[in-house]
Parts: sequence; C-alpha cells; structure tokens
Amino acid sequence: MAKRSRADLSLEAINLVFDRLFAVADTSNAADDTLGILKRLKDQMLSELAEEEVATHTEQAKEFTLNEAVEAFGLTYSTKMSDYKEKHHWKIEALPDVKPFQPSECFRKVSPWIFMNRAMTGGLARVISGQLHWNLQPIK
Amino acid sequence: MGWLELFLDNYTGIYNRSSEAACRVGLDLLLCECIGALVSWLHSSLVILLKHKRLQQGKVSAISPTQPTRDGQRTPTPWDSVQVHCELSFTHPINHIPTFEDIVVGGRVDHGVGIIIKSRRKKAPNRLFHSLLLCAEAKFDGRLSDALSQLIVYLASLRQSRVNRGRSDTSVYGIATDGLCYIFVTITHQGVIKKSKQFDLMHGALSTVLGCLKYILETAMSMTSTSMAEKGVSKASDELQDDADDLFDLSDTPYTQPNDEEF
Repeated sequence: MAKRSRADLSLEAINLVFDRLFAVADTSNAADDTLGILKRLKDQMLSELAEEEVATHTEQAKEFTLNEAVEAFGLTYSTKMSDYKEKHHWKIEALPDVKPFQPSECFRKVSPWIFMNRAMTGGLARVISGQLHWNLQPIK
Repeated sequence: MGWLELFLDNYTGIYNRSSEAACRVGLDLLLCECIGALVSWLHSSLVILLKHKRLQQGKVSAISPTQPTRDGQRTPTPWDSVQVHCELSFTHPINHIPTFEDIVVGGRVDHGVGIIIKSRRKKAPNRLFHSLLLCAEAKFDGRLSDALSQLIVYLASLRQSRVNRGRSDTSVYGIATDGLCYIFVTITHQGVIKKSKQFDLMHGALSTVLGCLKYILETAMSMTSTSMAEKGVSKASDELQDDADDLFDLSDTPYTQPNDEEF
C-alpha cells in the first residue's frame, strides 16, 4: 500500500486544526469576524501548501535510471569497457586492508542452512507449484 | 509429510516471495555479524591494550574498564553507537544543475548503517543521523541493476549534501543486494562512481563479502571527525552534530505514522 506523502499529511493537519478551531468558535459564540478570519487563514495556508507543491517536483529515487542519476548529480561514470576497467571497476576484494572475515561459530552454523534453504526453496517451490498446476489440470 | 515438504509448505504459504523481506534475511544476518564482530573486536583489543599498559605500570586491575561492572556500565566504544535503520526516510533537493532545479528526490533507504547524534540545535530534530553505509535491496524477482540505480541516487544525494556543507572528504559507500548477491559501490570525493564485481554467497564469497563490509564500515567510521573512544560518546556526539546528514529524517517512519487505511 502506498505511503502518504508529506504534503498529504500537512493537508490533513491543516484541515484537522481548522475544523477544531471552527468547532470551538461555534460553541463559544465568538465574534462574527472570528469565523471570517479563520476562513481566510485556512485559505491562505492551503494555497501556500499548493504553491509549494507546484514549485517543487518530488521524484522518487527508484524512478531514476543510472544515466539520469549520473546526469542529475554531475557524477562521472562510463560503461565503455576501457573507461570502466580503468576508472570505475572497484577491486575492493584486492585492497590490502580487506582481509577475509572469519565468521563467528554461531554464524558459521546458521548461515549455510539459511542461504542454502533460501536458494533451494525458491527453485523447489516453483517446481512444486508447477507440479500442482499440472496435477490440477485434468480435474478442470 | 517429510520435513522438507512441511518446510516448503509453510514457507511458500506464509512468505510473499515478491516482497523485499525475504531478501533482507541475508543482509540482516551479515550486518549483524559484521557490526557485532567490530564491537567485540574493539572491546577485546582495548582489554588487551589496557592490561598491557597496567602491567607495564605495575598495576593489576581485577575488572577491565571495557567490561561491564556490577551496575552494568563500561567504557563506551565508537561502535556502540552504530545502529542499522531500516526504511530510512530521505529527501534531498537537487539544486546545482539548471535542468534539474526544483526537483526534490525522495524515498526510503532500505538499510542505513550509521551513528545517531542527539541534537541540541534549535529548529532541528532531536535525533540526527550520520551515515556510514547505505543499502538498497532488489526484490526476489527483481534485478540487481534496478537496486543499483536507486542506490546511486541515494549515495549521490548524500555526497552532494556533504559537498554543500563543505566536508573535506565526501566519499560515500553502499551495497546493492538481493540477499545472496552483493555489489559494493562508492562515489569518491571527486564524484567518480566505482563498483565492485558481483559477489555471490552461493559461490563461496561469504568470507570476502564480510571482509569488504568490515572494510567499508571501518573506512567510513574513520572519516568521522572525532574519536569517540578517546572523548566518550556524549562529548563526541556534541562535536559530531555538524557531521549529521540532514537529508535523513529519523522521526518519519511508516511505523510511527501508519496509514489509517491499514487498520
């Protein structure tokens, strides 16, 4: 389910606050111009929020392609093989400070089980669901 | 019913294989193992160092300063304040390239490893975040390249924010993963993207991936301006306020601001 944007939350907050203020003004027999002032304030706040929304366009990080990201942030990146190997390939595993990490005893016992099962269940689950589908077909 | 059939029946029935949750199991384990090891390594190193120093001075202490005392207190280390935050809210305005002006980049970083800094600034959130490492995950049936593009946007925003604040070293680090395959990414201070080859845990890369993860965390930690080990976490936190990455909003989480429709 999509999460609500900050603008939606601001809109809700403005409506909630003013609804309560209108309710208080109604029950406390406020002066005639109080309601008018509140209405004008609400209109002003809503229009400022709308202007803010128009002025700035929000784009989700996942909507960017790699090339767009490179262009938007003024980065240096090339997929040309010669450039890539020279400039952009990070041989992190060959750095002198990177040493093979000895996992703890607990992790050594747990990790093969989890990683093996994740890969196995992914593949086998597809096989089983395929078999089930195949078995069900004659009944149809 | 055999154990495998039972396991498969439960697994395929309970888990949604298109969700990122399945991918997170692998990464969570690795991060927990790596940060846990860094914390305990530093503790044990300090214990050895202090014991050696005391022996040289002819003093013998029954309780190590780095081990908990009876009231549960001990000397804090920098790694004690490192935490992993999931679905970290993130907004950043792009304002230096004319064609992209007035665009605000938003999203949620799947995993953010960093230090929480208590803010005393006025008009600032109480808790600020200094990032060491950002991670983006591909869905089980998704492509790692999509996660990579998303990660580059997060890292580039973080780098640009640090450039705008005049930081001396704006290098940023991240990982794109689906839980089994890992690509390490950095954007250098000069703005050059560097990415590693793809490491696959199923092909014996576990030790290498953990080694790289440890290296990145240690490198990013060494970039922080002060040594918390020497000055204590609370003092260092005050000085670290200027190092906070303002583009992260720790108070904006889907769990404290749930969607009404979900109830």
